[in-house]
Amino acid sequence: MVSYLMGGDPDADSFLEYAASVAASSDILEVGIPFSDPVADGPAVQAAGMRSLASGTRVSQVLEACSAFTSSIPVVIMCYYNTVFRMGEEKFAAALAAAGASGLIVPDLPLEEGRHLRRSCSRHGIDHILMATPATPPDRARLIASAGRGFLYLVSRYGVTGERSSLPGQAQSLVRAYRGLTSLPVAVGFGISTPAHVADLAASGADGVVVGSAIVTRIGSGMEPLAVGDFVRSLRDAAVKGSGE
Amino acid sequence: MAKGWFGEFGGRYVPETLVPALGELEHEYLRLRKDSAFRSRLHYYNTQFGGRPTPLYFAARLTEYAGGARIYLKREDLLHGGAHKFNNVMGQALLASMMGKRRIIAETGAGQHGVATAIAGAALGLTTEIYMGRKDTERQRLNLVRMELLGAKVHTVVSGSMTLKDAINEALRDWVTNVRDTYYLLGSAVGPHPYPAMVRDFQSIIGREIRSQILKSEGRLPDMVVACVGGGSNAIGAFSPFIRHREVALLGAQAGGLGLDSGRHSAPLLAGEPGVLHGARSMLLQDGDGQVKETSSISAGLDYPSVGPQHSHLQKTGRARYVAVTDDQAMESFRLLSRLEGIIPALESAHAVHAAVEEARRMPRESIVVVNLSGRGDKDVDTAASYRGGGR
Repeated sequence: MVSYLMGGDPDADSFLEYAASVAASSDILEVGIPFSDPVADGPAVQAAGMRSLASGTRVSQVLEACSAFTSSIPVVIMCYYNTVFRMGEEKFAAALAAAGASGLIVPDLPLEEGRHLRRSCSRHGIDHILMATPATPPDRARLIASAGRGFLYLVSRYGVTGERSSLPGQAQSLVRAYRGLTSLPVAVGFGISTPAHVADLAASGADGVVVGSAIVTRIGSGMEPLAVGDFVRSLRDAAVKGSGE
Repeated sequence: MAKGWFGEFGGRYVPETLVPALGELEHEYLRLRKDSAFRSRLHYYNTQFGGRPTPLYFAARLTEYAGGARIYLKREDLLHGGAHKFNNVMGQALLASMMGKRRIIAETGAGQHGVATAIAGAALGLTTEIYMGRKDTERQRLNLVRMELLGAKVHTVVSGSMTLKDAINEALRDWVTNVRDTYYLLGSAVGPHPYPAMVRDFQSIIGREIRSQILKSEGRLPDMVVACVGGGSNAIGAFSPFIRHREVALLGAQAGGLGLDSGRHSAPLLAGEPGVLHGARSMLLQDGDGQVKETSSISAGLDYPSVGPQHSHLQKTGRARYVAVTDDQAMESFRLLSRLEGIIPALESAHAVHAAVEEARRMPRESIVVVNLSGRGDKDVDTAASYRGGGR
C-alpha cells in the first residue's frame, strides 16, 4: 500500500498529523512537493498543491518534514522536474538522501531526459522510480522496466490523477504483462479509489497500489487524521484479502 | 545539435503517456513535410483561403516620425483570422487531418490562436475545442464570440493565474486523457519536441516572404528584423530565414508590463532563469524553489512566463537581442500606428512597433528595419479605450 500525501497540505503542522496517521496503515509513504503547474494531476491533487502553496510551503520544508518519518516507513518523493532542475539534480538527490528518503518519482521526466538524474540518484542511494502507461509500446516498456529502480509505477489509464468509479478494463492485463517484464515490484496508480479496486488489482498480481486523490480529497474536506488513517487501513485490508494472503 | 535541442534549451519533458504520441507526431511531420500532396494542399489553403502572401508595406509616415531607418511592416494582420497564427494552424490542422485525428484541441491567450484553430477546424470538418483562461475570456471577449461562431467549444480555465499558462496546462491534461483520437494543436513555438521546430517551420513562411519582398523593393536584405516575443512563434518565423545572414540584426520585444523593476511583467528572456515548463527547458520566470511566477502584460498574447527554447538559444549565443517594452509604451505605439499609418495593430504587435521605432531612430536613413506586424487590433479596442496607464 503506497499512500500519497501532498507535503505541507493543508499546512505544515496538520501535514505531520495526517502523515503519521496514514503511515501507520501504509507500506510506503509517497510525499508530493507542491508545484505551481502540475500537468499530470487532476483537480484533487491540484487543489492539495494549492492548499500547500497557499500556506507557504517550501521545498526544503517538505524534505525536512519527511525526515520525521523515514526511520519508520520508506518515503518516496514525488515532484515535477522543474523542482529538481532548479536545485540541481546532484544537489537534489543529495538532499533526498540527507532527509532519509528512499525514492523519487518525477512524472514529467521520461526515460530519455532522465539519464543524468538516474545517475545522481544511484550515487546517493535513491531509487529513481519510473512510470509505464497503457500508451507505452512493448519495446519501450522493457527499457523502462530495466532502467527503473525501487518499484515499477504502472499508470492504470490514459489521463491525469483523480478518483474514478471503476478500474479501466485494461488495468489487470497490464499488470500481468508487466509482471513478466520485470523483477521489480509492480504498483498500480491513477484512479484507484475504493477497497474493491484494490482487491481486484491485488488479485491480478499487482504487488502494490498507489492511492492519492482519494486520500487528499478527504484531507481537503477536513476529515480528521485518524479517520483518513482508517480509510487507508480499509484499502490495505482489501489488498491483503485480494492477494489471498 | 541533438534532436529536439537548441543548445541547452528544448527537450521533451512530458508524462510518459505522451511520449509515444510525440514520437508519432514527429515521425508523421517529418514524413508529410516532404510529401507533395501535403505541400500542395497547404499552399492552396495558405494562398486561396488565408490570403498569402501578405504585403510588405513601406510605412512612410512612421519612418518620417522616427527620423531614421526606413521602416517596413510585414502585414500578417491581413492574414485570414487577423494574425500570423493561421500559418501554423493550417499546417498542423492538415497534419492532424492526414494523421486521421478527428478532434483537435488548442490553448489560447489573446484568442488569436483559438480563432485560427476554429477557422481551420471548420474548414477541415474537425471537432474543435479550445482552452482559454478566464482572465483572457474577459479581456478578449470578441475572440471568444468569434470562436463560438466558428463552431468551436470553448472551455474557460479557472485554475492558477487563469491565463495562457493555465490554458496550456488544461490542454495538456485533455491530451493525456484523449491522446488516442485527439491532436493537440499547440499555438506557439513552445512545448516539447517537435512542437518548437514544427511551429517555427510553418511560421517561417513569414521570413521567407520578407526576404523575397525586400529583395524586390530594396535590392538587399534588411538591417534589422523586429518582432514581439511571447511564446515567440511570429518572431521565430520572421527570424528563421535570416539567422544564417549574420548582417541582419534580430530584435525581439518582450512584454515589460509595468516595468522590469516592478516584477509585474512577462519577460523571461530579460528577468528569468533556465527552467522547465510545458515540456521544454527554456528561460522561465520562477522563484528560488522553481515555482512559476505570475506574469503581467496588457497583451494577453504575451502574458506567458516562459518562451520558445530557440529564442533562449538565440539570446544565449548572441544571435538575437531582446528588449522589454512596457504596457504604456505598447499602448502609445498602438495609438501611434493607428493615427500615422491607418493600421490598428494588435497590442502584442504594438510592442514590436515600439522597439522598432526606438531602433530606427538611432539608425542612418539608408538602413532598413522590418517589423513583423503579427496581428490586427480589433480585439484590443476596448482595452485601449479604458486604458488609464500603468507603470513607466
